[in-house]
Amino acid sequence: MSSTSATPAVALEASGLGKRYGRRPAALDGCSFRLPTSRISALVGPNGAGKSTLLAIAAGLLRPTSGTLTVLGEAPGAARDRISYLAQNKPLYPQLTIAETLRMGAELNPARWDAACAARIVEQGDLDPKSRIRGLSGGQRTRVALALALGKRPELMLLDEPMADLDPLARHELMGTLMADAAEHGTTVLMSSHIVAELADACDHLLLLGGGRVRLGGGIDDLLAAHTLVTGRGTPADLAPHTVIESRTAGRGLTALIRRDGPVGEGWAAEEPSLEELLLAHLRAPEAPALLTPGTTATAEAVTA
Amino acid sequence: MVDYRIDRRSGVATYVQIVQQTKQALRLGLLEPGDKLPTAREVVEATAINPNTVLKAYRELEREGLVEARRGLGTFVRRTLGAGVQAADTPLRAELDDWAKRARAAGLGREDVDALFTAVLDEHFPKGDQ
Amino acid sequence: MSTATLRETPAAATVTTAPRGLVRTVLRLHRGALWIWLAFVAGTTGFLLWLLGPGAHTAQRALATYGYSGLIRANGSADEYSSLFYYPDTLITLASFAIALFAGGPLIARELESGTAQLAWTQSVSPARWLTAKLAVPAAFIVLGTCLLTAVYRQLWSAHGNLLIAGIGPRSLYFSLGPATVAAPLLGLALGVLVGLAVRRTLPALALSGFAYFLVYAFRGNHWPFQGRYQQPELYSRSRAFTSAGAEIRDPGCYDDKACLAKHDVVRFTREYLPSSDYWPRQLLETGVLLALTAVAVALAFALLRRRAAAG
Repeated sequence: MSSTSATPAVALEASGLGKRYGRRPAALDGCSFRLPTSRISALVGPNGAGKSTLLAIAAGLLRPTSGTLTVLGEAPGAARDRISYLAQNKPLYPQLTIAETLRMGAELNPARWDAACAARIVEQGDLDPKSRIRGLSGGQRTRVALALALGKRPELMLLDEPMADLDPLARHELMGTLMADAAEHGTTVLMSSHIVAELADACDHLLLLGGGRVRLGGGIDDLLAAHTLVTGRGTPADLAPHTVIESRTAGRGLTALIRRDGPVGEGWAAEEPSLEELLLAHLRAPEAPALLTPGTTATAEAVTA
Repeated sequence: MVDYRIDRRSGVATYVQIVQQTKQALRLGLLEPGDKLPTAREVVEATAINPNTVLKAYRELEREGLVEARRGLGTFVRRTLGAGVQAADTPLRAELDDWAKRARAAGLGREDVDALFTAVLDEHFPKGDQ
Repeated sequence: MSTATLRETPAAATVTTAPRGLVRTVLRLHRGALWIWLAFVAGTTGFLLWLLGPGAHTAQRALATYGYSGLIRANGSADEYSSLFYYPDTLITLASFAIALFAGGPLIARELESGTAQLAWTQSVSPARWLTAKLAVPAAFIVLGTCLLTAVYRQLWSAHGNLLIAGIGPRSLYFSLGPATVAAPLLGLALGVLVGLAVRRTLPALALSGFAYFLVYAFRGNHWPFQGRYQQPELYSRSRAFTSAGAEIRDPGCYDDKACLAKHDVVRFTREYLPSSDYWPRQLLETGVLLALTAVAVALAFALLRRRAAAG
């Protein structure tokens, strides 16, 4: 998990990032955050929260309408040889065979291509290199797309719903491959997903998007530690000065997810929430204030970058 | 070699599971001093968990003096959790055994005992201490 | 373009090695279309060579027998040859349409629609370099193929243009063969690429690039209705008759009147189109206009691409 001195410590830094498609509501609106390198970060949010837009801007495929984003210390697009991007629909050339697709990866990334790594991922899936992409199932295509993405030896991987159409075995295998690559090379990964269980094991960092902004950002452990699930008798008002994200009353009891400000008072049973509880509470409460843990907020330099 | 098995529904933190399973392997003699633990890469490839989780578990084991990391070589077992440890624990176990008998005699059910034990455990071993 | 190249300079290694790989990849992606193009060029060249050799031989004999005027009335084999003479021109025109459709559809729009263009742009290849390769590789094949066809066609014209029956046909063909024959499909390519980038969906792109190239076709130089300097010029033809002694005399206008032919001792006829002094001015002007439009279309395509993506 080491990074060379030449590698900037920040993989992604967004500052006031905005993207608007025509007259529709902005997909991203004043989105600011910082993703340190060597993190494996989940990108979560309701549908239409701007996850795909953020990933596409970072990959240099879309121009933001406002704000800035630096990718590995450079403008998006300038770092394209150091990133891998996996689009949601896993596009590949249907007329090529698997072997030809990998050869394309070698030819288009001559400085970085790791043929052995790409070939291994394809072999794990029992795929015949001579078969055409056209004839592959969705999961098999994902595997080839992932082989192309990992074969490039990227410093940053941007994955849009990478595991969505995989069966449980392939998902476990490919996630393992991805994690092994990250362990070996210190690759930074930013992946969007709806499957919380998958994220809880694989990710150590979280970006929760909502309303075009980052609602939660930071290390998962830090974020979980900043919140407490309390149960007891009382009303939400009794929980001041803590920030109540979500509360539910059941009979005389009250269960609430709070963002702590000092120790929790007497009379409340306190528990650390699970990642799922944290995410669901924030998804159900879109008006809850944003929280970015230290080191994950955009700094002033980013504005000038 | 240990083969870590991550139970996602146990509610036990993943890195704690790795620590516990390593200790279990030490107790059972599956790992002996000088043995190499699987690399983080090997563990995450098999379990699809975050590499930092494995490193955190190994650091914890290192802090307890059970393993040591040799730069560029890997993580190796330093000492075992043999019968000696269990023997040392025997008086404690006997007391606990005695306590459980009394709890049962007092009419407590398994779940009551569990809740009571956990509460006391939490009091003496706060979660942040792990 | 300047900012694009500036940004790329840090990755010097990729800049020097990638173009070859990028070209190989483009060749592999469109090998079906390239094989079709090569087959078309080979087939059409073969056809032209047949017209130049065996085909002309038969037609020449018919002309020698019946005379030019006789041929027009006889509707014989020389007439057939005269029609075949135009086929390669028709084929080249159709191919130009096909090029425009290919460029708009499979080359660009289908890739943008399915996301494979974005796949290429997230390898170590910037969108600008991707587009350069997408333009340059087909352009090279188009230039080589059409140059060959035009050269053989011109050769056929100068050898056997005399076998063509007069009318608007020979004139139109004469003024369409030349550098402009090479420039027109290039414009088709550029227009197709521009349409593909603008529309980004395969079927509408096919329709629009076909329409765009139809406009080019309709205003090609051989259709120019201009008055004045570039008015449709006539191709002057000259008919000559030969006596049995080998002397060249004016065509006595006997048609197939055997008695008349015998009287003038005519055994053979010949006819030729005289080169027009307007040929080169018209060709160069048309080629210039086509290439200028091509350059504009290419520049617009790059501008459009840069506005869409961080073209880098």
